[in-house]
Amino acid sequence: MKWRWLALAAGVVIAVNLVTGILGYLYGSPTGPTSSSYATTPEGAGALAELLGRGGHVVSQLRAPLADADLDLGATLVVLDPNSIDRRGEEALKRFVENGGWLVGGGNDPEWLSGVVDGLPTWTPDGEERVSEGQAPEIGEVRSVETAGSGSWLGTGSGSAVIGDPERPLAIKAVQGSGTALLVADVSPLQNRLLDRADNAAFALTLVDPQRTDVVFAEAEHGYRTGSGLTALPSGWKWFLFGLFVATIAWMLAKGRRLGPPEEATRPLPPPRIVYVHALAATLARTERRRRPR
Amino acid sequence: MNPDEARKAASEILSQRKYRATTTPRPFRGILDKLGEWLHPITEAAQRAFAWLAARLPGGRASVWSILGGLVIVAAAGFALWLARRRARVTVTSATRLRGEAGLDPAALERAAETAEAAGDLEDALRLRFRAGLLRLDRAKVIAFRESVTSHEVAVRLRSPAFEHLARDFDEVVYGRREPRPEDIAAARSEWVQVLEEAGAS
Repeated sequence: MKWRWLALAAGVVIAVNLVTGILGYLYGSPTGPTSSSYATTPEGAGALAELLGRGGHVVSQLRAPLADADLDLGATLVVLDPNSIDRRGEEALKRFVENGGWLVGGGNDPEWLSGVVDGLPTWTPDGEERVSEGQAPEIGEVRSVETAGSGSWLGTGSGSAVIGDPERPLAIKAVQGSGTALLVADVSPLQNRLLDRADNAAFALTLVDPQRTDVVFAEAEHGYRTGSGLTALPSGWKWFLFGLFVATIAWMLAKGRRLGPPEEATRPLPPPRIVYVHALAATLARTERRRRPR
Repeated sequence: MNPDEARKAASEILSQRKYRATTTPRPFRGILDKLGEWLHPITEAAQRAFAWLAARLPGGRASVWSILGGLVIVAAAGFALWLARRRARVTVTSATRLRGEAGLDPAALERAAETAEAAGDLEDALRLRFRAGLLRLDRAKVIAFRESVTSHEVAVRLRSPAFEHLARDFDEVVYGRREPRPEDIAAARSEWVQVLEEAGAS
């Protein structure tokens, strides 16, 4: 009995912690992919999207893959830390810039940008944590940008430095065709974790063309898709629903009648009082025996 | 928007609840942390074993996880089987107890008969020995014992003069209310041995 109480207490402790842990995970923690405008995590860019909205821009999200999307040349397109961009996506971005679009791109190991901008400088994972020199006129009053020190360009390539030492700039500006690409080697100043540090917020606002009201964040490359019904559900939810379905089937099989007809042919009766029947039979049998002459 | 205004706006945005992790209450956190510390050497050893195995198996960690998953399924199936058998046994045992078959032990009945005989209760001794004999026949699958089985049924089945003598004495004493005699008991003791031998139940 003592062990039963101890087990019960342990079970209650585990259950309470499990429930609070799940609640904390579901409702207490910011979520979202790195550098996504939907993400509220420290590495997300949700605050950047809101800041641009407060700065007078109309912010929207593009949930179709870049290769398939009809990119609006009158808008600023923001592509940060994409999971992957295929060749067709890179070509679509290149056409977008050459035809007059304004692209803000960057992130860790931005190999994909080499297919978008000609003469892209080499990217390195080393960077300064405080960038406060070599400001170009485009960034106005921005004097100092705080970063995570996780990236910089080795030179400016075909572009020009926007901020930072021209040998190791944080951001460069490349004019290609009739469009512009602002390429940020370390996007941490634009992320939630550092946006309100130093002049990062102002730096973020200056990256966007002030003449273009619309700002579009590419979100298909962060895993978001256009869809309706079941296709709109994240794969985790789909697996959860599938598991629920399997569990329901298992429960139905366990509870349901396994063999025999679906319905009894007759009403089930209470069990016969077999002892009474046997006793009566025995009495009758003895009575018969005694009548017989021996 | 100048840098100060932009920074202030960014701070306002980031001060919203959605950008901050909310800590949920964690009752007994201290106890659990302590427990975690105690278990640390075990978990560390398990991790080392896992890594050692992953380094030697084709497929690495995925293979080890697959094997562990398989072991969990086998263990769960084994436990479920054990539990089902245990419950079935408990059910059978309790059902047997409810039917009162725990007392249907011929040897115990014979001992009880000896005790009754020693105490001078000859009718009880006769009844108990008769019941013990029937149960031994049942165990040898010569008859199917039930509470209401009659002497006539058994006599027809056995066709044994010795049993007919035993049954007659039994019926006379138990149903005819004849006073039992020590010879009845002595006959019961010897003739039951004969009946069981004839029936191949000894």
